[in-house]
Amino acid sequence: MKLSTEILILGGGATGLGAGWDAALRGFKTLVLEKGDLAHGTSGRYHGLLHSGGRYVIRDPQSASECAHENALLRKIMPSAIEDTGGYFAATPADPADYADQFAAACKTCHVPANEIPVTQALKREPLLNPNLSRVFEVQDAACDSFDALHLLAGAVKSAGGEVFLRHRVTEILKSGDRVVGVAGEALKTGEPFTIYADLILNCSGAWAGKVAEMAGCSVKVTPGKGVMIAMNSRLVNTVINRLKPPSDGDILVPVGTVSVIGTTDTAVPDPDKYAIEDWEVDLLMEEGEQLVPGFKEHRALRAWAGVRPLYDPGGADSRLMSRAHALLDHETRDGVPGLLSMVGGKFTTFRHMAQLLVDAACAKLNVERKCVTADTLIEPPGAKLHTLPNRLAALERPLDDPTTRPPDPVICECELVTRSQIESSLRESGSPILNDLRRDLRLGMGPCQAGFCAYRAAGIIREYFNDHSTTGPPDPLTNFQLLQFLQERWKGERPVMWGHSLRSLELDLHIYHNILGVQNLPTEREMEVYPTEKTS
Amino acid sequence: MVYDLLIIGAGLSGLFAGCLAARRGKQALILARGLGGTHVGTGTIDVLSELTSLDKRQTTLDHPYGLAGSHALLAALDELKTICAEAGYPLHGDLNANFRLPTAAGATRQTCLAPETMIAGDLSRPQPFTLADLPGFRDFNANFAIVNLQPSVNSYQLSVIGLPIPHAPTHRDAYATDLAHLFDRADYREQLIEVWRPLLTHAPKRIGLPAILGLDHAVEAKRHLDSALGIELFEIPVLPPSVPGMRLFDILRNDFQARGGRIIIGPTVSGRIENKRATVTADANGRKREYEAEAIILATGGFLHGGLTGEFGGAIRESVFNLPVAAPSTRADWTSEVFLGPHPFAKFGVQVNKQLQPIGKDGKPVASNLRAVGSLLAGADRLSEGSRQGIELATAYRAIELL
Ligand SMILES: Cc1cc2nc3c(=O)[nH]c(=O)nc-3n(C[C@H](O)[C@H](O)[C@H](O)COP(=O)(O)OP(=O)(O)OC[C@H]3O[C@@H](n4cnc5c(N)ncnc54)[C@H](O)[C@@H]3O)c2cc1C
Repeated sequence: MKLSTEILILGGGATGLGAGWDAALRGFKTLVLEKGDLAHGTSGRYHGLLHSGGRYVIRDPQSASECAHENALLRKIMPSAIEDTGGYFAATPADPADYADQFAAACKTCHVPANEIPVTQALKREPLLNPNLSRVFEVQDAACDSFDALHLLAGAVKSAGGEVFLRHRVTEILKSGDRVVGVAGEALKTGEPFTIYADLILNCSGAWAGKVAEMAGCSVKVTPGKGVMIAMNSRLVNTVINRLKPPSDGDILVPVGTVSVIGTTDTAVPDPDKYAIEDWEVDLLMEEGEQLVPGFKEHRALRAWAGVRPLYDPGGADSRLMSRAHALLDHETRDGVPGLLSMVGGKFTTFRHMAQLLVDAACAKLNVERKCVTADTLIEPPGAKLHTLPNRLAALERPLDDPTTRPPDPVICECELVTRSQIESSLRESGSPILNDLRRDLRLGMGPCQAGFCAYRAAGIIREYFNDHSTTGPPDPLTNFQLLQFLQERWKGERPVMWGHSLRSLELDLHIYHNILGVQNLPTEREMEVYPTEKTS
Repeated sequence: MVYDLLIIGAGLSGLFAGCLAARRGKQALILARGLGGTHVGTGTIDVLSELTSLDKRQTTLDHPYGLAGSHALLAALDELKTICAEAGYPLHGDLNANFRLPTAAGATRQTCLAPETMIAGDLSRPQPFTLADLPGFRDFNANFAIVNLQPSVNSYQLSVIGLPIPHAPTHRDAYATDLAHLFDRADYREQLIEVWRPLLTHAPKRIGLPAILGLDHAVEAKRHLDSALGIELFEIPVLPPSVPGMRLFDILRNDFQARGGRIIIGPTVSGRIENKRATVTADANGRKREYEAEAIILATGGFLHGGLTGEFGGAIRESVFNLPVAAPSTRADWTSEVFLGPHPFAKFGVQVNKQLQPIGKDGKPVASNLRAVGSLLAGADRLSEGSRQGIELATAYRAIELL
């Protein structure tokens, strides 16, 4: 495959899709390349917090103001990916007493709205919180579902006239002299090589940005900072809770969908594709959770996962001290390599702003003047709804008075209320037989049973969908492999939290898959792994 | 009321121990917090996937089969078969050879005893068969199973046939139990025969369907449909709740109660050991009652059913008496990186002596009147071995023998 475009974006996370959306809206012929599925990178594994800015007021005031600004803006332009939970900064007995006043003053300077409220009022709204809190500030935090947000963004790129190619991995950057003119790579689905020429290339590959820049001969130091999070099996709180202390491990609890997520940690790792979750990280998060919600450790931990922060390192230093702010790198002035811009660092919350800066710079490079309109453009299609169980339930409810006209649409994943027809339409849209993609699209297997029941059911649907109900012919190693791989991927996230109820649940899952279904005896071909999964959870 | 025997746990081993005791004229009480493994299992009796290696297991005292002894397994299987046959639900098979039965994913599973409703599915038989696709029933996918099964029966061609289930619930998704209640009714089966007859004219005579053939009258249902339609039906176990497992539960409970046994399900049971004597307290929502008995059998199962718990801090506990359980204190050492195992935790459990008495660190019994049986016992990876029910029955048998 050979193509050419005006603006080519490498990386389909929030930054890359945001840039694709912005560029397409400004009338550029735009293409976004992503080596994995949507939400495959850090954007699909972040903490889920649309920052109020409060977290950064003291150490990184610029980020704080940007977050506050973007937070207010995103609520308007993509409301159906955002749940307005509100947020608290709460001082537990373990937190430094003098931090509260500094915090309040810094919020003012950074224009981050924060109101001190009586502790009793906070405890009334969040009764599980530590009753010994000393001070509480209310802020404008919200929860933002990354799967929903990225699916909306990809849709927005397309409806603005741009294109998104998933599972297209860039392996080479093509140059003519010093100038970057295109990329070459492989379409992982078909194994077909591709070459794409572009007037300008925007490197939005997050924690991989260093690797990508290196393909163009430029040295960009991005230190992947691993952060671990644990999803607890219920919404212990309905408000985002931040510890009122300098940023550190396990200081934020975010209600997301049906769960609440405690996070995070921060450890520099050498390679964004290779990292493991350690027991000590899990222990630490559980202990910190205990400070916020007494009895936290008695609640069921559902799974743990990690993401890698794209921390831009202009030189040296410990990665937590590295700025979480973004940096726009013009490789023409920086390295003498025209045709390539990189956006590194940043946050999910500020993706739109980063995209705007990047496309503004692109306009300047291409010598055109086109105004950014993303701040005033609705991202979502009409009728889009936040994925909450009530909304899913409402969609399921049909008039029950006339059962004969009711089309049977079985609920395949009972925890997240995913139906057969939703699975079929996702398969139709993506053409991908990968259960993990269905998970990211529909949240299949994300609930309390962690795919114990739905993996078999969904694998059967995939089998029927792609094989057109043919019952003869050779065994189906691809579907078998998908099933086994999905179970294995879920297991990676569950294993770090294997105690208590999770251990019980594991025995049940093994009962089902090993004993009742005997899947360990199914024919699969490991070579069928045409779509590599490079992530640990 | 003073009981001769108190059994904690109402899974296969607890119920079976209860039946054996009642059949030997003992006054027994079963106390359990909830239902056991029957409701999530396959309803078959797995002894060992590789039956030929049974001798090896039975000679080592590290393994529950070794502790129970070979005669116990043999006698247990015989007595279970008698109980089930008397209830009109014969189990077939013996220790000479396993059945090779198809699973709902199209794999093969080895089992020693299987109910009459399942044995026509034996893959060693040469006749072709077809699998029933029940529209809208989520827990069995005939199309998925059939392609995987084809290579295990290469001498003939397999197929799928769509068979509707009239009157299945439409306001919600049907579970296996919903459909089983329909099949229990003779008048319903008459209707079904009329609907299915024209669909079956060209189908192979051997037909596999999910395990839904009735809870109380399964064998009757199978024989009725088989003879009216000139076919041979066989059931394939599906996702929980397990209809064939519930049948076993009902049969054992009924047999136990019919012989004067008493069963209380609901209270949380906690135990105490003083002066080498075990007593228990049952707590039903705050109403506590103490029980003493000449003999106590602990049959609370493994992790799934709460006999064992693994704690955040790295301890594994036996949940009623807090009996010692040897296990590594690092959680990462409990499980394998591979989901399907084998997992180290599978062998964790309560250590017992040849009398099936739980022993302390000194190797001596912790209480003179306490025995442990079933999936709670250390030393066997039941999943990898395919030995769960065999161990439950054999150790329960041995415990009663030792009374
Ligand atoms: C643990 C953790 C918690 C966080 N919590 C928050 C939070 O609560 N709120 C917040 O606002 N921010 C949070 N962040 C930060 C935020 O997640 C990231 O800043 C943001 O998601 C980065 O988006 P991105 O698009 O730049 O990178 P990514 O989402 O990683 O996208 C880069 C993409 O490039 C692709 N790619 C890489 N190499 C290639 C190649 N050769 N060819 C094609 N494609 C390629 C990758 O597959 C990836 O999908 C958190 C980060 C971490 C790690």
